[in-house]
Amino acid sequence: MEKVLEVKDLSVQFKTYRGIVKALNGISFDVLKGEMLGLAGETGSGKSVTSQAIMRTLPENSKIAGGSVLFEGKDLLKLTEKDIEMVRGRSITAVFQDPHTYLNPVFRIGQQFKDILLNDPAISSIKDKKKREATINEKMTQSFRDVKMPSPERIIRSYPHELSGGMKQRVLIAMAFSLKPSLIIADEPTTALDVTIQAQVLRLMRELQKKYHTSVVLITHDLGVIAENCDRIAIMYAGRIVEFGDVKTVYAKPLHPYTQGLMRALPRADKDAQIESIGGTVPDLVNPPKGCTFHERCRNVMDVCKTSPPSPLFHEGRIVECHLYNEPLGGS
Amino acid sequence: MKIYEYAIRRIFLLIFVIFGVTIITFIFTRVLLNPLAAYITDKTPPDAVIAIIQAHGFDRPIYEQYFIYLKDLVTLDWGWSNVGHMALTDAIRTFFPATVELTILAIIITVLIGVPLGIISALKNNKWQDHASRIFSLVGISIPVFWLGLSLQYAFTYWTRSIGLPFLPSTGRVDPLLLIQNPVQGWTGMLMLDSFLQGNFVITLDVFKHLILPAITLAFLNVGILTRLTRSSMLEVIRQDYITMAKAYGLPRRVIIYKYALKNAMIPVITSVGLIFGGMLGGAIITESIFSYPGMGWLSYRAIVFNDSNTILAYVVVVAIIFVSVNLLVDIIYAWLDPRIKY
Ligand SMILES: Nc1ncnc2c1ncn2[C@@H]1O[C@H](COP(=O)(O)OP(=O)(O)OP(=O)(O)O)[C@@H](O)[C@H]1O
Ligand SMILES: [Mg+2]
Repeated sequence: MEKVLEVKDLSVQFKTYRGIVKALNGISFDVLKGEMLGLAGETGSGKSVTSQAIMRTLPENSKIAGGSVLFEGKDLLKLTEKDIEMVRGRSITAVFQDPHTYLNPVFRIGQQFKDILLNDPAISSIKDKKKREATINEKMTQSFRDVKMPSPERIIRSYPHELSGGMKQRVLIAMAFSLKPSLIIADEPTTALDVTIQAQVLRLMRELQKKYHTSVVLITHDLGVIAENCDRIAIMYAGRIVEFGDVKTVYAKPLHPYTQGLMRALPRADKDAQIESIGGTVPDLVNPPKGCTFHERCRNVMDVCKTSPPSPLFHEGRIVECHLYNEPLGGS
Repeated sequence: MKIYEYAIRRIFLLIFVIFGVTIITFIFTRVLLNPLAAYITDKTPPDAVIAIIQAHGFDRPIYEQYFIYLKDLVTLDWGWSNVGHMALTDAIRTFFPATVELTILAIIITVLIGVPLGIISALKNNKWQDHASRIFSLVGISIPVFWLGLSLQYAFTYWTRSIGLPFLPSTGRVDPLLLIQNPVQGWTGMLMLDSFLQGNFVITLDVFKHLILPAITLAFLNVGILTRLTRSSMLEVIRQDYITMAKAYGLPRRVIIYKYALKNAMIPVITSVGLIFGGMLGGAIITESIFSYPGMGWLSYRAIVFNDSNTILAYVVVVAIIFVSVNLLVDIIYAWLDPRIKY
């Protein structure tokens, strides 16, 4: 299958008063055309930083320490500010976590939507003002219909605070899909929403993604959500991708002890097995532990884990980063 | 609720505030000071004094006197201003427009320098532009107004004149001789505006020259304050999620900064511009005194020096009215800028 995005060996650091935060330490993954890729991991594992690095919206105290982000044959990290502006919105765009804070409070929805649509050269090049407005209106109405919004005309005239959370998230999704980008990064798009609305919104994204053949990176804490919606999954831990493969393969038999821990932490209907959480806490990314960053919390820790970091290897149909699969079990 | 309904309700509330102020000023005039002082001078004949006492009800019970006092206020029978050498309402009509003129120029300077400087400062956060503007603001905030006023007079009047350069007038509002040669009719009382409207540009220019130094002096402190405020407001807004989102959706930087961020950032800025404006309108006592500029500040300064309590109390009422009106105006603009505000 055709690759839309290829992240290679990406490292990102933040300068803070405590020292350098090594937020991403050489992650590699790809996104295929039309697929939905799930990106999971505990808080602080670097999911949002990954998305910000791809979109080039990292804050000022950050530094790309290495790697590349290939998109349509170009390295996004090497583009000028002007060129990346052309990519954003048109080719890659984002849906964010909290729809309450991601819409500008002092402009009407229609105004904000219009500014996004004007990114499209096909629209902004229409000279006749009346015709342009009409095209924009038609596009907005169409997009709102796509996300099953009742009375688009009313939404267009509304201010964000006049809409409910679910409606706002639909607006954001409508905006994201409006320019038919090839990649959408959705960073916990439903976390801030009501449980009942969460499922609706995800289904909606899934539908639109199928309809427009868009690739989606879905960032979430919720492995259940990934199981239901995604084709492949990447598990992040402390700025590394520790396991990456087909959802079916990984869920059937998680290999990395961290993935196994996450799976055990899932509530299950079919067993009375207790929900277990992974002991310990996320490591400090200013002074990460030597060797494998997970070894302090790992059930299967071996001596080698404390000294040398594992490298990614292909094992049982997926990529996994763990010494367990490097050598015979129990060996050292 | 519509915005004009909100305005009407606010005006209603405003009346109550002014009511409160008049109670205080009433206690001053009738209880603590000599109420007659407002209506008689050395030259008032004794038999006229009786008539004045009766006319203004000074022989009535105190609660009745309050209503008579209010009636006098409303009917603009405010008594005499010793330092103004005219009826108080005439004095205010003469001196207030001068202050308005000065204030408008000063607020224009404040906003035109303060807001752009604050924006640049925020966009170039911690770069040299930011440091330069920080130093400039700090200097502006720290310099005592009287020192700045005197220094400007020294530099642009005495020094430039001593080396034969064109110089700016250091005191007054207009060259009186010039005004006699080119008389201006008092339409609004704002000399610059009136002369301009009447095509009397000689006076317009002369008034403008007189205004430059006091306006700069008055603006300087506020430029510093406004720069800092705009900067922090802008920095705050730039960090907001909706700016990230605008970026992620590919809006050009120009639109993000000057449309999406600016409108949000201007909300607190406008509030403080309103307050600065109100403060200046009340009369910049120090500035107007240094430049002998005949405005409300100068009048009240003289009233204080010459113990003219009637003028001082009238001044208090005027300032109260100005402040509540400006506040009202700011709130209305605020509600118009920020649709989240419920009125
Ligand atoms: N602006 C920043 N300055 C300093 N450190 C940062 C900054 N942004 C993120 N980090 C650090 O980078 C690491 C990864 O953060 P990130 O936001 O990507 O986590 P996440 O996986 O998205 O977590 P969550 O599930 O809570 O959203 C964290 O240790 C975080 O503290
Ligand atoms: Mg996150």
